[in-house]
Order: sequence, then structure tokens, then C-alpha cells
Amino acid sequence: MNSHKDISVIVVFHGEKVYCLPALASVRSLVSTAMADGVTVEAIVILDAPDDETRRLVLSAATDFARIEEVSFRDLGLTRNHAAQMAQGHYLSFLDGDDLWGAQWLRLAYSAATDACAPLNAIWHPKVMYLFDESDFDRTSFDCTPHPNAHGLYLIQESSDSPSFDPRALFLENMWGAVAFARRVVYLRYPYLAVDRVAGFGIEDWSWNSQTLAAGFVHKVVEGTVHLHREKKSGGLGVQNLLDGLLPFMPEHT
Amino acid sequence: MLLRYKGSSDTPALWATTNVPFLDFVARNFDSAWYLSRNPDVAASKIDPLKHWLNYGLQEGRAFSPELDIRFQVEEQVTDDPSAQTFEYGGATIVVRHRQQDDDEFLSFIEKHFAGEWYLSTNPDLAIAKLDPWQHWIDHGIWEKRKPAPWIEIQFNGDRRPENSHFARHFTYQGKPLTVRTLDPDILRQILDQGALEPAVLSPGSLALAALRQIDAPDLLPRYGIDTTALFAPFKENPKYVFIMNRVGVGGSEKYLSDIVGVLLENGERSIAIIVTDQYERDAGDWRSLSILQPLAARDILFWPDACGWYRSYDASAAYDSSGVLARFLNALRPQHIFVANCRLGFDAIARFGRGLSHFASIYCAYYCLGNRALGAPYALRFPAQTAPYAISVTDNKPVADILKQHYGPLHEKGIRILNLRLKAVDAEEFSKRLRARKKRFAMTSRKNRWVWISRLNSYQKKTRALAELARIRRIDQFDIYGPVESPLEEQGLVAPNIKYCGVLTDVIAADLSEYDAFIFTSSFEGMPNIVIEMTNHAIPMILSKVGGLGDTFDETAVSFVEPDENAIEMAKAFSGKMDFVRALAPDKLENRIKKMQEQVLRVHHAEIYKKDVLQLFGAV
Repeated sequence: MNSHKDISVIVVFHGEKVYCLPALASVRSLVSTAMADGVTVEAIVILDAPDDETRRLVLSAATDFARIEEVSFRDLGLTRNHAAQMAQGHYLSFLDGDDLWGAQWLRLAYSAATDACAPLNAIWHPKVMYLFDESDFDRTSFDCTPHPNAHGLYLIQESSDSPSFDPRALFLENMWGAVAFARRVVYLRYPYLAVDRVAGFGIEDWSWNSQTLAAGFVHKVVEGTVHLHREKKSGGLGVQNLLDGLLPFMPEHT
Repeated sequence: MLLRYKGSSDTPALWATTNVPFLDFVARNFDSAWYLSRNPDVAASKIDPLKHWLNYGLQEGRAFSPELDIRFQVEEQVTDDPSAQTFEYGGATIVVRHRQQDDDEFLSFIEKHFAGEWYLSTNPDLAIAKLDPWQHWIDHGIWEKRKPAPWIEIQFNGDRRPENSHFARHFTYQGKPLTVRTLDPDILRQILDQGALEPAVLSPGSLALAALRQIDAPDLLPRYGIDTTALFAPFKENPKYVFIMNRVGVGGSEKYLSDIVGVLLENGERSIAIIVTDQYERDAGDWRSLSILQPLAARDILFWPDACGWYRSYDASAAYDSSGVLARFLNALRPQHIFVANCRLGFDAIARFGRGLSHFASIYCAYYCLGNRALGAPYALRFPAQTAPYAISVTDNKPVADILKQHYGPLHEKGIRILNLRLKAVDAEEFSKRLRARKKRFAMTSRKNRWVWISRLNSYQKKTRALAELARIRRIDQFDIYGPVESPLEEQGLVAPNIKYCGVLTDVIAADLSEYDAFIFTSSFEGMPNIVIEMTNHAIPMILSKVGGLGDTFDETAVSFVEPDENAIEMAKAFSGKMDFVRALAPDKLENRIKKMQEQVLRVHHAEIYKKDVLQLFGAV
């Protein structure tokens, strides 16, 4: 039996606690949507030095996942690199364990990546990032008009080959979120860099985006897809990176 | 003039001359039948349709022809539409446009998505007036930036991002480029589905989801006023040295940095860039003509507010993280040396991101003055502890170096360095000439006492109250004062008849100050005052507040010191005593003091010593 899959979808947990439950359910809907379209998918759960509650919840809710592995890198990038080594999919997509994803993400990303016209050196991202913040329950609306102070918003991502895209902006701001879809060999050739808090560098997604863009890859967006990103006041990696004063690695670091 | 118009037999009255072209145009194009069919209230009133339109319809934005769009011109609607005609009428400007295919495409798209009930519910004034919502929107709402539906956002802009069928569509309406944003229904459906797994997804309200804000990721920076192109534009290359300062102009800190840059240039370094954080270029005026800033004049220079707007917050949790952007910008430029002086934004970037920045650059933070009362003291009190782990603390005087060592010594992994001010000295011949002139004055035993005071005129730091008191108690002496006035002289008490304000000296060193008996420097706190060092060129006796690093350069055999005193009267008395002392000295004693003063200043501030110190600081020797 050929164990190779079209896609390995890898979701990484470390201390998401109760947020892991909707994330796992969302991955399940992603996988089933893609598989219903004839795409073979391997779903992998990685626990990186999880806290007890996260471990207990994930293990109880992810029994139907192909692989569950616990590691202790204590680093998101290194965990992803490890997962890329063990994955069997031709394409990989990494997901963070406190987010959700529109059910079409894997199906449409695979379709875009395998289209005959698709560039070989492409890395794919969802077109839309919906940033939701559960504190919006305090600013909810009962009609079509959002509360004027609602935090929720849509970030519309843009392809790097768009005429209006200025690559220098990537020096100042990350232009694509954590969700990416690319051939496994891309992840093997361009592994994520470990956060180096002593040196003051990190921010793995941003650094990886800079690194791959500088290496000639085109970052493209997949129409009709959405990544639902949970905004957190504390405990989030982005907040921690800011507090730690981390800067993204520049391409010459690699 | 007699006007005839379609479908009307009425004859208008006499017209003001300036109104004639417009009325003539209306007369030729007015379609009475169409107007009456579209305005049943007019038909019912039996008023002549043209008269109605001129008296009411024009004001109300009613159209009189399906082909024409006629409005009063308002500023936000000024357009380059070549089809537009303008007329003067009743003192206002009227714009007439022929409806075009572009307009129809836009209106057709919006009409398809128009939410009439929602429009009325969110604009209750229209419901009360029983106005047709669609007609109101195309006549007024669009220009008043009212949304036609909760899920549609219209942006008036000239920035046309690539077409995206679901999110952004671009139109031209009445000659103006518009972007219409909607949300892809498939995306919305997927989000709603996920709401079944995580209710927080729906927290803004499931009905309101479609109308949440949309931001293009490449607009993340522009929406906070950061212009990436303008940010990188001044830099022809990745600079080896970046100097970050708050402003360019006349000032001690500016001169300090300029002198450093001057030495680097003399040493063949050319890859030097300047970032000015607290000044728009237009506000910097003709700074390139200032002699003290000549070394900076030809460098690549970025005025931060011109590229990034005025920074509003240093709070890491704020949406616009100014110091974070500066740190990332430096991370992109990758200089080998970063020097920050007198600049909050720069200090903040080093404090927060110095760990990473120091990985590729040597960082220097200049602190001139420490103490709660000092100008800029919040920087020098607040930041050394935060920047010391990543940056060399540089100062122009020993007292500050001592305090930094005493307070934060163990934090200073990179060290504390004193870089003394540089004396731009006149040549020996000129100095001798000035000394001769001074001796000539000393020989005039019956001369009237004349004292010169030069600095910024403010009572807080420069203790001008003591100067005023000095003039009061020495009524027969003359006090000539120079310098920028920072608050009215009257408020500083500088009104005595024996005080003469002489303006700002554009070149202190070149000025003729031979007709004075001594230089008076009243001040309550300083780092190392430039003016004192410069004044040594004038071979003039000095009576100085003993502040900052002056005591490390001079001793009492060369200059007369007065301890600063909170009490202006006491301080004036002390100064007066020293003035009597100087005035009583024999000419040869005065000459000796001046020679010692020159010797002492050159020992510390000589240009060659300074050059060596600068090059050592940057590891260039």
C-alpha cells in the first residue's frame, strides 16, 4: 500500500487549553472537505511541551487523527521542521492550535497548487484572515451594523506578484499569516529558524516568509479561503514576541 | 435674452449677466416631460417645471434630464472628469456632467446590492421625510459617505489595487475613481459554519459579520501613515553609520552629532545616514546653510514624520508601534553603527529592540545631562538603564559619566565613554590679535564696565532672573545679551535700562567681542555648555556658573566660578563679587588667566584629541 498522501495537515499545540477543541473540530472539517473532493490527507497532531490540560484535551479529542506525537522543542519553528521530516504528504499545511480555518482551505489550496498554470515556486496562503476576538461578545450587534468598536476585522492578503506589492514592506510588517501551503520539499529546504531570544530574533512565520521570498518564491493567495485567527490579549505568540523585543530574521541570517 | 426650452412656453424674466450661460444651457436641455414624470409633486402643483427646477429642484439635487447630472460644486467632488462643464450661477459654481457608461456600471452594481430598508433604518431622518432611499443615496448619500448596504464599503481614492472579483471592485463615477468593497459570500458562509464549532467567531454578531472592517494586508502600513517608498527613498545604499536625532537646527546636541560626522568624513567614511525623528523636512527650514551642520548636509537624510507621520505612541500595545517600526527599519538597513542622541523614539527602539539590533550593530546612546531639573532629563533618567545592556552610553562630561557608572555601572556591558566637545579654535595669530585688543581694553583704567552674556534666553535653565538682578545691583554697568529668546524678556525681568538685547549671534567665533570686560554665564544646570568652549576663542575673562563638566576642563586659576543658587538674588551677589574680582585684577594677571584658560581648553577639547577620541569610539583606530 502506498502510504504517501497528497497533503499532510499538521496542527501544533503547546498551551492552548480549551481552544484546542474547536481547532481540532475545524481541522476535521478541513480534512473531510478535501477528502470528499478526492484528495488524500494525512492529519497530524503535534504536542510541543504541552501543559497538562492541553495534553489531556487533545488526546481525548484527537483519537481519530492519523498521528499524534509529543515533542519538547519548546519552539514552534523547530516543531514544524520536525513535522515536515516525518510527514508523508506531497504538500504540507501547518496550522496553529488555537485558530480555525474555513472548510475550503485545503481543498482549494491543493487545487490552486496543482493547477497546470500554477507556478512551481509558489507558496500559498488563504485570501482572507478573519481576526476574531471573543471580547466582541461585549460589543456584539443584533443587526447588520457592527458595533463601532468591534475588534473583529478581515485582513485581505495579497500575492507577492501583485503589481502593487512592495517587498520592502515585509521588512516592516509580516504580510502573510501563519497558515501556508507548499510542497514538502520547500519546508525541508527552507526550514523554520528557531527563535533566538538571547540574540533578539525570532517570529518564525515572518522570518520564513522573508526568507522564501528572498529565495525567489512567490507567495500567492487562494481565492475563496479564510483563516480564522484568534486575537488574544495575552498568552499569544505575537504578544510575547513583542514583549520580548524580537525582530524578524533577515534573509542573510540563513 | 429670450430663452426657449423643450416643452415649455414660459418666458423667463431678465437674467443677471453672469447667470446667462448656465440659464442658456438649461433652456437648451431642460426636458419638461421627463422632469414632470419623475417628480409627481411638481406635476401636482401645476408650477412651471423650469421655474420649479430653478427655484427648488436645483437646490434639492433633482435631475431634469436622464442624460445630465447637475450639481453645485463642492470641494470633495472636484474632479478631472473631462466631460464636466462648469457654470457660474447665483454666486455658486454648477457642475454639469453627461452621464456616462462608467457611471451606469457603478450605479447598476450598487443598485443590485442596495439595502433600502437598512438604509432607512440607519438614516432615520430620511424615513421621517419619506424620501426614496435609493434616490437619496445617489443624490446625497454617496457624497456624504453613507453606506448603501452594511456589507458594502465605498472608498474614494486614486489607489487602484488589482481587481478582485469578490472583495474590491473599481469604478469611475462622475470622473472619480472609487473602490467598492464587499465580502465574498462563500467566505462568509465558511465563517458562519465555523461559528458552530467556536461561538467566539460570531461574537461581533452573526448579522454584522459581513460588514466588519476590511483591510488589505499591504495597507497595514499605509493605514497608519507609513509610506514604505518614502521611508527607503533617501537611502542610496545600506549605510554603515546611522545617526538618529530629534531635529536639525541650532543646538548643542545637533552640533555634537555633526562634529562626530565631520570627523568620520575626514577619515574617509562616506556611508553615513541621518534619521530625524521629530521634525518634518519643511519645518527644518534652510538647515543645510548652518555652518555647524555642514557635515550632515550632504548625507542621506530621512525626516521620519515625512515617511511615517508624527509618532503618536510608544506603547507597545498601541496599534501603531512607532519604535517597533524604527527598529525593523534599522534591522533592514543593517548599519554597523547606530548612534542615538536626544531622541525619544530612538531611545525607545534601542530599549525595546536593542538586543537584536546590537547583534549586527554597535549602538551608542548619548546622554548629556542627568538630574530631575535638567532639560531632556526624562531621557537621561529613564533610558540609560534600559539601553545600557545593548549600547555604549556616551556623554560629553565627566559628572554624567560618574553618575551613569554609579547608578547603572553593572548594566553597562558595552561601557561608558566620555566624548568631549570639540573646540573649533581660531588660529594662534588670530588669538594673539584678540588678546592684544583685550589688553588694550584692560589698560583703560576709567572704562565703563561692559559684560557680555550669550546663551538661550530662558529663566528656567539659564537663570536669567539672576542676570536681571545683577543688572539691578550694578546699575552703572552695561550688560549686552545675545541669544534666542525662549520667553518674553519682560517675563524674565530683563527690562533694566542697562540691559541691551543684541539679537542672535550667527557666528559666535567670528563675532567681535573685544569691547567687553568678561563673559558672564549664568546657568543652573548643564552637561557641557558649547558656548563656554567657543567663547575661549575670544581671549576674554570668564565668570561662569560651576555646572556640568566645566570644572573638569577649567580651574579657578583660569576662570571664575560661581556656584549655582536657587535664589536669584544670592546668585547675582556671588556673580557681582566675581565681577569685582576680575575688574580689580591687574592687566598682566588677567592676561595670565586668559592664557591658562586657553591652555586648559585645548588640553581637553583640541580638535586633534577630539578626532582621536571619535575614531576610538567607533573602533576606527
